[in-house]
Formats: sequence, structure tokens, C-alpha cells
Amino acid sequence: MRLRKIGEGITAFPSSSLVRGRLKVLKSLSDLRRLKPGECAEKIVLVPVAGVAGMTIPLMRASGIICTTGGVTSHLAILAREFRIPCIMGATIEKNIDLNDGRNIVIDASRYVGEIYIEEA
Amino acid sequence: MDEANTLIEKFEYHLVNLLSKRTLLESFVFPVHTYIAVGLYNLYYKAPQAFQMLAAHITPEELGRRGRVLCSTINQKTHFSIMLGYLVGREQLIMDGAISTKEEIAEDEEKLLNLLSFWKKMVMAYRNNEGIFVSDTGNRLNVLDEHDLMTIRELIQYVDDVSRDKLRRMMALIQSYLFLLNCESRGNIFHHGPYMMEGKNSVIVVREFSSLKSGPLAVYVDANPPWPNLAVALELKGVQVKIDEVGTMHTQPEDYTPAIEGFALLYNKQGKLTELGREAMDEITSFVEQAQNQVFSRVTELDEHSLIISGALQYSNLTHYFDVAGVSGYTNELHERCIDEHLARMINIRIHPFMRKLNFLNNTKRLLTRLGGAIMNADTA
Repeated sequence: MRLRKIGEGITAFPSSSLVRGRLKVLKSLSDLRRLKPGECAEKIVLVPVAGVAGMTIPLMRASGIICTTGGVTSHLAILAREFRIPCIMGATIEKNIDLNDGRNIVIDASRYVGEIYIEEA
Repeated sequence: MDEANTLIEKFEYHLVNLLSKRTLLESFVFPVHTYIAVGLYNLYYKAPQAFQMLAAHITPEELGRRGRVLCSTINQKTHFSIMLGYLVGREQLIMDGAISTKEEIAEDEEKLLNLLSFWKKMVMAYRNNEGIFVSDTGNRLNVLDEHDLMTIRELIQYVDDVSRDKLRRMMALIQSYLFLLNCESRGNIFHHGPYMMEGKNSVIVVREFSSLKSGPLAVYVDANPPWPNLAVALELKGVQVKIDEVGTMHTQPEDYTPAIEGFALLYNKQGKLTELGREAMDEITSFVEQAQNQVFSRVTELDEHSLIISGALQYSNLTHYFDVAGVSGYTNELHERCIDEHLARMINIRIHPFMRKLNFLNNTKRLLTRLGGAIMNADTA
């Protein structure tokens, strides 16, 4: 497996080592409401909004967070720091990539600019 | 007027600075941009009269001084947010063309000058004449008097890994609950400090949750919190701490957990600083988990109209100033012009054009309109 960089953003909570996990995409309130307990545990969660209403319980056990909006003082970033979850905010991600649930993702949040990779065969 | 324009320039600087680190806020649950716009219109209509009412009963200096206690519901964040919100609400109306005639401009100037005058005196007293903005004092915000600080220093107990993790989890859950209860705003979460620990290479930062159940959505929480408010005094060693204009703590390095040397749990019991034992953490965490689930399930059943009104009321709430002043007769409700003119339009357009303008932070055009100059409309601004 090799890593291919697909995006980057600002690191809101760092990790000295690479964070690997399967992707869980939350696009809407309906996605949030459909979640089963523990469904985001040990996963890297991708969200489009930087607010936190309704997201705390699912995110508490996530291994990483990628948010395509917001910045380091957004509520989601504050929460990620409190739960000590590596987090990249305001991420821009390559278009035309199939980012569905279960995809293997790696995030490098060791520097100010955090990087996002997919694993490819 | 020159002094007013200098303050407006400073608010413009802080507005750009805050948004560059946060960008505009979106949420799965709340139509944030829409309710903020309605809330800021409301603040523009209501704040001048509200502070005029207060001025009849209390001096701005006394009101400011009353905020210098633990878990006060009026503090640097509320002071800053009200004035900035008023200025942005004013900008929305200027863009709408609603402040354009000679009479409208004169009335706007008079109200703004009066409000700024009261506000500045109140903030100066709150800051014990140290400054107006947190950045005036190097992002340090010290509001407690020496007696309270001494008490807190004596109450801080040293920490082991288990209680450190328990504390972090409790604080995280309270914050997320309060974000939800306050419609995704930072209502009731506030930090002040760092206070130097004499003779030690460490600092104290106080994280306040100034009300654990208040605001327009509090009716959806069945139980009452075990304590009405909570302050966590953190002794931190080996981190650089800065406080921003809205009372958010920033540390370098970002992960401050290993730097927690000790902490104390306190609350404000009718003006008196009161200690809580560490066993309080379990009780508070349990309350917050249940309350958060309740609010989420009920709020997601609300229609959009109700969510916008709740958020707008949260964003333009001035009742805590009346509570602290001990003045009755003020109600947190939308001004009739908000209901008649702005609510339906904002539901239709979703984001006010001024919010879109804020997205272009690196432009050279001015964001906030000064007094005494030409008022520009949306086409020329």
C-alpha cells in the first residue's frame, strides 16, 4: 500500500505520529441521527461543518477529525483539543475522489499545515 | 467622534482577526448565519434603549465593577460581543439602505455615541483601567481581586493522571453541552488569566461556565444542574497561555493536559466563592450527558423558524446586564422591526450580504462604517 496526498488544512490539535483509520463521513443531520452507538469509534471522521451541536458523543471516540470548513478557533476545533483528538480544520481535498465510509485514510497532524492521505494499492 | 471612530477601527481589526481563525460558523442543527443576522438587527434596535434604561439606575463604572467576580454573567466576552454585534447590525442596516437619510444618519450617530460612551466606561471599570481589549494587555485578562485569587491559590490541589483525565472529559462535555444549549454560540463559556503563581513557575487560568442552564433552549432540559455555575481554576506549568477577545484560551503547545499541575472546582453561590469537592465531577458529568441528549433530541424536532428565533434571542440577549444591575423591566424578545421586516427576508436569503463581505478578509475595503463620513450602500461599499 502506498500513501497519496489528497488534501491539507490547518492542524487544530496535533499528533506526533501519523493517524491511520477508516473514514466515516457525516454530511448532514440525518447522518448524525442514523449513527449507531460507537460507529465513529477509532475512525477518522470527515465533516463539512465546524459547529458541534449533536456531534460530541459520536466524535468522543474518533481517532481523527477532518473538517472542510472552519479554523483553529471553531467550536469543533475547541472540542477536538478538549478530547485530544488529532484534528485538521479548513481542509481542502482533491475533487473527484471517492471518499466513502470505510476508505483507509491517514492524517499527518504533526505540523501547522496538516496533510491528508489515502492508502492506495 | 474621533474617539468613536478609533474604537470602530479597533473593532474592525478584531473582527477580521477573529474570523481569520474561525471563519463563518456552520452547524448541522442551527441555521447559524441566518439567526446571527436577525440577532444583530435586534441588538441594533434594542441595545441603545436597554443601556439607557440601565444608566437611569446604575453608573457604567459600577456595572463594570460588578462583573469582576467569579462566574459573572457579564464579562469581557459579553461586553465585546455586544458592541461588535451592534456595529455589525448597524452595518447590515447600512447595506440595506435603512440608514441613509439625514435624519436616520443623525439618529444613528447619536445612539452610537451614547452607547460607546457607556460601554467604554463600563469596560474600563471591568478591566480596572488596564485596557479595553484583551490585546491591550498582551492577551492577558486579570479580573479577580487579590483576595479571591489568594483563596483560589489555597484551594488548588495537586492532580494525578486519573483525575486529570476525568477533569478534561468533564470540561469537554460541559463545553459541548453549552454550545448546543446556546444555539452554537459561546454563551456561558469564558476564560480569564493567566494569573502568576508567586514563587512558582506556573500560572492560574480560570475556566468559567457561568450558567449551566439558561437561555432560550433551557426549557428543554428537565433536571436542574447540581450547581448553577462552575469555575475550574487550572494551575498550568510549562505552557504559554493567551486569552482572546471572546474569552477563549489558547495554549502553546496546544495540548495543555500534561501541563495541569493542579486544579480547584468552585462556584458562585449568591456572590460568594464556594469550593466543590472533586466528587462533584461525576455529578456534573452525569447531568451534562443527560441534558445534552435531551436538548439534542428536542431541538432537532423544532422547525427552522423556531431555531432562528432561539438563536437570534441568544445572540442579542441583554438580560444578564439587568440581572447584575438589579433592574427589572427588560424582556429578551425580538424587536417588532425584526419580526416585521427582517425575519422573513433573512429566512429567504439565508446569509446577509455583509456576512459574504466578511468572507473576503484580505480585501482593502473597509468593513465597518465610521461616523461623520458618507454612508455607503451595498453597491459601493
